[in-house]
Amino acid sequence: MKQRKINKAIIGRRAKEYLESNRGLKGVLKLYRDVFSIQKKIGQKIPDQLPHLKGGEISFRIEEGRRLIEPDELEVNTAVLREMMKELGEVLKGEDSKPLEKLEDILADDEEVRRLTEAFLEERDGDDTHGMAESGIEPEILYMLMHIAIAPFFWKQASTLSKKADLGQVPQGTCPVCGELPIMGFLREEDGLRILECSLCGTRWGIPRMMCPFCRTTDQKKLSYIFAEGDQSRRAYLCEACKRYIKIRTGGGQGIEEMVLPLEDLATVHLDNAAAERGYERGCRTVFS
Amino acid sequence: MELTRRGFLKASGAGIGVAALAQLGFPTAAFADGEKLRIQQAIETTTVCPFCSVGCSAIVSVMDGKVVGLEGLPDSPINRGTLCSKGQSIFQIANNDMRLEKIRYRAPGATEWKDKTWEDAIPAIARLIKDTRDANFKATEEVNGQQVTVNRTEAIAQLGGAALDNEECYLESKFARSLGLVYIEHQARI
Repeated sequence: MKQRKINKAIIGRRAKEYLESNRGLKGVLKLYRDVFSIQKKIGQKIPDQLPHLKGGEISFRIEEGRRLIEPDELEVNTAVLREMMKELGEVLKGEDSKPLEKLEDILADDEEVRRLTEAFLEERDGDDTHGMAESGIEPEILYMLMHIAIAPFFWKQASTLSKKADLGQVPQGTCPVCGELPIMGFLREEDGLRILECSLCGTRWGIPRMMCPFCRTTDQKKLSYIFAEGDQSRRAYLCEACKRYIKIRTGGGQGIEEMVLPLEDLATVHLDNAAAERGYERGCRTVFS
Repeated sequence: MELTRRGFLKASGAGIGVAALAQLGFPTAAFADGEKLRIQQAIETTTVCPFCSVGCSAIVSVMDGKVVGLEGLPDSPINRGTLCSKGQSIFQIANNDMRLEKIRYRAPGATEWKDKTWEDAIPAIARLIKDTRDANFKATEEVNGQQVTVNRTEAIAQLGGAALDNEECYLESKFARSLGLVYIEHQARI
């Protein structure tokens, strides 16, 4: 399974294309570019590490449906994380610095940074933010900040593991490496295989084409997709059984390694609207959550 | 259902990320007001290519009862998402301007084709089959100086169509054997 290879130049090119179709995305696309730049820059300071699992253990966990990085197996360097949070916080302040004015107090306290890291790692499974509530920052904002700040640590650890794992067909809707929900997926041009990309660690894995990734139904009468007239390259696959959907991009001539799905996700919000109007819930996360 | 911007942020499950962006003052109106495009819906269903004995699987996309797309099924261990040029053309079984949609009949010795109805055609075909079979039916045949029961006709042959599926081929061959046909052939052999 080829993993993504994106950089600032590719993101810049793609963002320009998306901006041409929807000028309203300007602020969010710029934010993503800025966030990515910081993640890459400071992410270089994350120390190299040997994979914590061997080949046999990797295969065993995948067969069992267990993620390869359990919360207590992620190695987070607090000093690097604090620097990441500081710079990302500056970008997120944008027009209004008030929601993040307590961030400096948090960053001054190593113990608090560690506590929030643990809270994030434990709570991302539960889709709630109560562990973030005592920090003086709105839990939703703090959760987002922790998500984008910790992501590069997952990237680093996931990249060594995904090279050793067979991720060609893993029939599940959560990331086999970190257990997070996907951001969206795409159909590989050469064979139509459906590949999902993790919203946290960026790992890509293949899932059966005729299956809902969330409830795993294979009942074809319950599966369909919607698309904007004239553009079948961007689809939202709906599942009537669990009422959830996932957005899928078809090749469209783009090299899959250079496909920037976080941007694609932001640029296909018309499909989110259409699915929501029809009573379906998004089964995926965004790059910011 | 008309969605407000706030409503979208909740209902879409886009989740706390987008909601948090809104709280930070980032312009998220585009998420709710984005392009108002006409949305269409299609279903995908799997099928097996009938053209040869390999048995490749395909995904057929259908919209409003019409086939709008065809591709190899990547989940199939046989063809892994690929289709040969002939397999790609099964699209034309359903969508084909050249396909006859009426019964056409040309009488013996005539040069012109005429349109007929199924009510005309089925009894006429049945009559011809019955008459030919009865006129050429062999109940017994001499083998090594002895009369043995054969119950066959050699005056009719049957050729199965390449686009028939397994079950249709079974029914056709069963029907042909019940008439006593021995010349039964099929192009696909699936």
